[in-house]
Amino acid sequence: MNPAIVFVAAVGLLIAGAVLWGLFTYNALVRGGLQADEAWSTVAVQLKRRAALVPNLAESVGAYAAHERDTLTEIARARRGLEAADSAPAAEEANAALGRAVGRLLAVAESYPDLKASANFIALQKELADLEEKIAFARQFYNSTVLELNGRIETLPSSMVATMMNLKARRFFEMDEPADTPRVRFAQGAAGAAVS
Amino acid sequence: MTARRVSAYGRIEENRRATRLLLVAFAVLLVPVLAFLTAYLGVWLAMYVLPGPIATWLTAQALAVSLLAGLICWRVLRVRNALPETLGAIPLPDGSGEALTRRLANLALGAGLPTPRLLILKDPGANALACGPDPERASVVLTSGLIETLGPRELDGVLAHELAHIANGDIRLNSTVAAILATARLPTPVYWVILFGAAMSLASLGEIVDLWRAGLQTALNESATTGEAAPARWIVLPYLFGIGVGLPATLVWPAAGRWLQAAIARRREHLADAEAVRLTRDPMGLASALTRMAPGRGPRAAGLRRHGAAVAHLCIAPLEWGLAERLFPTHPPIDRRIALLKGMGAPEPLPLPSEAPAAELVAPARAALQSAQASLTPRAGTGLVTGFLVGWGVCTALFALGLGRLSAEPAAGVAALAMRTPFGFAGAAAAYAALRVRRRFYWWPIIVMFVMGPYLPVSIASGVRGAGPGAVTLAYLAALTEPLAGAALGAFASVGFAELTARAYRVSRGR
Repeated sequence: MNPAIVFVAAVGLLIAGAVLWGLFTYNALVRGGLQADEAWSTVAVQLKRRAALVPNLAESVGAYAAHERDTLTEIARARRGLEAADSAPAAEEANAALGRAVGRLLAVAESYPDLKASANFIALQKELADLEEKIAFARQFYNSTVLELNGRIETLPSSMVATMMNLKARRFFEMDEPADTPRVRFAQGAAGAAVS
Repeated sequence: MTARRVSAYGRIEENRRATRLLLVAFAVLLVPVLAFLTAYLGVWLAMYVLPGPIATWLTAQALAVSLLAGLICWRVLRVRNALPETLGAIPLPDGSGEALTRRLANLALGAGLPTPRLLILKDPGANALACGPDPERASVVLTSGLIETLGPRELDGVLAHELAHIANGDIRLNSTVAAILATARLPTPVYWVILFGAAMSLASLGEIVDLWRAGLQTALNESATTGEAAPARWIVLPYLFGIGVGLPATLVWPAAGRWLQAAIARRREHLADAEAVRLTRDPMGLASALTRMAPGRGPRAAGLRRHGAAVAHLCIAPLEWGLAERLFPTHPPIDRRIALLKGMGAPEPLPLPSEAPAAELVAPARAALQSAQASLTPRAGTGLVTGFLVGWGVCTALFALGLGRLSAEPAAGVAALAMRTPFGFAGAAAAYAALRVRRRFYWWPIIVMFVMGPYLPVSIASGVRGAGPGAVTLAYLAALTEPLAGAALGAFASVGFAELTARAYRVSRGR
């Protein structure tokens, strides 16, 4: 066989392989991004649900402790902030603020035995605990999706395609509570783990 | 036992790689087996169903391929779509188990899965399994023994393990492998006859090899010298491959295939353990649950046991602790799994201090199970009675067919008529009893009965009159694959003589 033909064929095969690999990597990166978006929407839904629950909680506290104006207005502000947040970093901040406000609200509730005993408040608290747990798991799924995507974006050889696509590594959704927030323990054992 | 400290991520990668290798080995071994089986089935079809020139020979081979492919597809779909209800599991009664379902929903959220259905199975032994062909139709089944013994952290570990099975597609993978293994094999008696023959006289095995080599040589020579014989090469070569490579492969297949299946299942268990830890971040919870499921902890479920091999690979803990499980373990040793889990997190004394079980669940679940109990208890004897009826119907139909043959081939027709009744009855009854006992459709006695029934006298006569030892062997094989011997051997091999006798006894006692 003619060596020139063999050479041309080999180079052609190599180029075809590289193009094919590039296509597959491109698709994988786009798919990973979509998956991360989808995982984020799961988190966002749970955050919104918690934000929707908070006014009820504030109302039931307000019925017993109307003079705790500061805490209640802070709750309302944090809630509006969370509902307005549309990206992961913004939501992270707003969520932390809401978490602090709710923590303070529950600390306030501690000093009202009647409030703590009311069925409405207990039910709300239970639901809040469940939502915290849901947020924690949704966040974990989001973070594992982001981990996979960031792995593709930052490691060779797929990072070359990612650079061409101008993709940046995404941020994890952090939820650590500041040290000054009072630790709140809910009735269920499992919920305590989810809050921390 | 101690294990290297490796993070859950490392374990996940390692197990994925190992599964890929095992699957490749399974596929490589499967090819010659399928080649042999289609060749074998093709010979039967060409001899008995479509006798004639080379064109029909090809048709017979094509028919064999499509038959086998269809059978495998059917089995795979049937096993995949197996519902937990066939095990005797029931959904949790309304309004109970709210905490447990909520926990499952939250964990599913963390795994990025739709929430599976939660079912409960009455069984004193602690076990759990996942069912369903895909995540949308998945269910998680917990035994009542599990709910009663495990604390919240341990339950989390078990639920996460099952969710990991669903997310990894293990139900699909394991049941596909199991269905292929159960379908792509020789009928049991034929297998034993061939194996026995090969073991008894290795000399004749050498003869077979010589014959095969001679055939290969002839085919190659013919196609090399004459251009016209080229088509013969395309027919003969795959066929010779089927016999020459496929026969030995088929002989080792039941053992090798089962070993590979078990190895794959074990890898997937490790993988599910590691992914469960990634989800719950609590290796000690799952480790503690496994400690409580260790061997000898209480009896196993009737529902799970009856399905035996069909569901063993779906359960979190092994079903049997007997010889089969020791030879082909579907699960890694439980101590090893516990040691690996310990290597992933901060050590704690195991089992974890007994926390309050999901107690509020046990009472309503038990009540629901009690009311469902009556309909779940299998009635002994109905299998054999129905088998009798089916066998009677089948052999009546075959009797009519034999009458039809009488005009065309008097000798075969008479023989068919004479031998029809007991054979048809025994085959159908045994097949149906096997189906009832093992919940597995025992297809081949019925097929053999239908396809080869009328030809027993013919094959023996031609074998005795024919010159070569090949014809006699063929006649012998034909005689052994005949309904009576075939069905009895097959039923004994699959159900066990003792169990069949016990069933017959129970029927005779009227229970």
